[in-house]
Amino acid sequence: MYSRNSFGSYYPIDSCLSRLNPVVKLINFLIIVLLVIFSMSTYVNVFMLLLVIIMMLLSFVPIKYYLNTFYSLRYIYILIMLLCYYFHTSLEVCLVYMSKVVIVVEYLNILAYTTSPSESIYGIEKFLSFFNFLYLPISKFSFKLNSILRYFPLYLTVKYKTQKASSSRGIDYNSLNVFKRIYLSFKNHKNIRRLTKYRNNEISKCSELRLYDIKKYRTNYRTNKVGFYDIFFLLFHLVLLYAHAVEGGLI
Amino acid sequence: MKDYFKYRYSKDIEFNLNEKTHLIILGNSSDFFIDTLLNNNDKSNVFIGDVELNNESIQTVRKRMCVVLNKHLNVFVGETVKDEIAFGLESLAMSKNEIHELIEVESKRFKIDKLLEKDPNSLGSSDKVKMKILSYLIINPKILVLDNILSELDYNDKLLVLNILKEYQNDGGIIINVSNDVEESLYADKIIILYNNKLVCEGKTLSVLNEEKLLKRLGIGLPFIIELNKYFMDYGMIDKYQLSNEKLVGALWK
Amino acid sequence: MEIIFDKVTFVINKNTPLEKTILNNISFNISNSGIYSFIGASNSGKTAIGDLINALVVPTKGKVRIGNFSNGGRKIRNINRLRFETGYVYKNPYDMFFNKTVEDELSFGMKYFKYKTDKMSLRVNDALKLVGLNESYLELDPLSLNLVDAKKLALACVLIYNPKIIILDEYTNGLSSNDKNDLIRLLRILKTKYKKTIILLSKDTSFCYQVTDYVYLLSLTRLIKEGKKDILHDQELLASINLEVPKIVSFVNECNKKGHEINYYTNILDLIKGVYRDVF
Repeated sequence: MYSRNSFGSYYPIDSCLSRLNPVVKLINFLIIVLLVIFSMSTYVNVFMLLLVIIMMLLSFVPIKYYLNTFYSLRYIYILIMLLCYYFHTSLEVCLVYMSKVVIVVEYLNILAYTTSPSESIYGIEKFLSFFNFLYLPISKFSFKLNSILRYFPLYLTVKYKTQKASSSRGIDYNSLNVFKRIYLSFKNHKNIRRLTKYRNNEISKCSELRLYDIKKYRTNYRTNKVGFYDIFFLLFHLVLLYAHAVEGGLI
Repeated sequence: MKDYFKYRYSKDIEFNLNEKTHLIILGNSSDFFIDTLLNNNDKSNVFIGDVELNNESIQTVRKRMCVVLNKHLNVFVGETVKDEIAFGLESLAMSKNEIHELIEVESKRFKIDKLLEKDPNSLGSSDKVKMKILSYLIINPKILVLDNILSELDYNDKLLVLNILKEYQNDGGIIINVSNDVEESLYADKIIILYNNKLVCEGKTLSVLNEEKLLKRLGIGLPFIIELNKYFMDYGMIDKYQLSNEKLVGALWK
Repeated sequence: MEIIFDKVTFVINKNTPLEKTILNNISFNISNSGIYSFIGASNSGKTAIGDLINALVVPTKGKVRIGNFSNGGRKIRNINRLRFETGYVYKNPYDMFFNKTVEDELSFGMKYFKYKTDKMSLRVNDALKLVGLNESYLELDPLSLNLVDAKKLALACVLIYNPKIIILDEYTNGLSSNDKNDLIRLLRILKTKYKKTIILLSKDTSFCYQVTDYVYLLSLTRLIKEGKKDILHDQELLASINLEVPKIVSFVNECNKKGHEINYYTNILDLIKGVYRDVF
């Protein structure tokens, strides 16, 4: 497999964002999701967009990876603009909706590029362990979550491999026109789903062979303790939350 | 410890292993055997130390007996080589510093210390095998089962890994090498032949390799140097086994 | 069919931190039918040679010519014709499988290449017999087979549409000695009776020494030496590029070192006769 780094895989470079504690990252992400759903104020959304851009720069990942996702969502922006025109909303509100889409997608990208999957699963496990009083089967839950998060990149990998294998024996995707390519994608969808499920099972089996004591806890060798940068970013997010509360009249 | 590993499968297969043994299993029933070791089977009884393999004890058994599968040679649980190796240590709840130190020391031994931050998909097949063996050997199991993977190694890497396995064996480990390549039997102490899910032959290396007709009939064949020895003995040119090229040439032209 | 590599360089993931040179300035020329081996340790670029001949990737510099087709940057017209003539068996046979049953898998190549589709079931059974499997495999899931059966099935999927060039990528890893002898017989029939060009990409020098006509040695992305079988007699060269000397050759080298002149045979029985003659 020659090309990696498709939507949302870990980019191994050392930056201040990749050293953050995953539990704090998760809390920050939940704050952002709350603000995106509830806040309609221009100022809060513009500052969230600025925050996301600063984090993109601080992560040291080449900008073209972020711009790839930005470009592939172009149809959604056109759809939003058409809907806003249809419902006669103002230009400001339309821009707010578009920036919300950009914020959510690029924040997810930042998390994916700067957090190794093992660390993110560890973060989710630790976060959920605060709710231990609910007696949820946390390690089984995080195991299942891991396989769900893996599904989409794995689907793309399997699709690439099937295309390569079938082009060796008669169907060359690159020389077909767009309509035939779409037709073949639909036809092979069931097959690729079956193969992705099989591969996902293999990865689960392989990791299950190495979970020696499922009842006790697991450590993670990458996680750092909560430090200066964690507090800094958390404060920034809390300030945004406070601004939204003031603006919405709650305080 | 006497008879650390005991294996029974209905009435067809029955054998025991002591510590410090290197066993090779030949024949066409390799995936059947590996399957009984990984999952609980009604007809099989596997004892590792004093623990029997069943649904409750399966996690304890997996800590003592590690199986390195050929099917999982391209299946990775981590994004980098270091993640892949550290996965097992994280499951044992080791602290962060211990994991870093242990991986540094062991990866130097296997000579993959320069590859720790790479993507496992981009490694050559020889390095992948070394990484997989290291990630199982690092938790120090009592039994190490290798399923058809030593044939993927380059020549120098094969000598290195066999050296490391010999040190592991002298420290008290048991190695079970399930293989189709009969040349690897020269490194083992004991051979077991499983054919069509039945135990056909069991014994020390040279005595099993003496059964030339049986091995040829089952399609297994002989290692090259043993075959040369056999032909020369039939023609009366030498009178006992010589296992290296120099000794064989010395015995032929005395 | 001719295969010409003209100063080919192949680099992946260019201008990213994951950039890697797989092949560096490789040139060679294959014109007659026969068995050619490319021998090298892992990470020396063997799989890329197979990918380039089957036009699955495009070289960064240089050109690859296969018969009348040219793979060098421009789009290849009628690329399915090229793929029909070159059969490529992958290193990991499970990567080649994507159908539900073995029967679908075998008939896939014939259907899309539109090759003798009227006698499909007959050809499917023939292809299975050629590699050593039988009709009981037809309804199984290809991903559930064990490694040796999967390798044989992958070879059958390629042989079924009768290509002129057959590329085997690390085929002999994990085969038992019976299977290896069957493979030698099959390769010899394909070479002499059907005049095919067979390319073996391998690091198993003992196996290649028994069948090959011509040898190319690869190490760390470069083509170091090419020649007939006698370049495998050089012990220092092979040790420097991390390859094992074929077992027959190391025995004969030992005899020659002690002063007894023995020829380099490929067959063990001829070797025994040669030694017998020299001892007595």
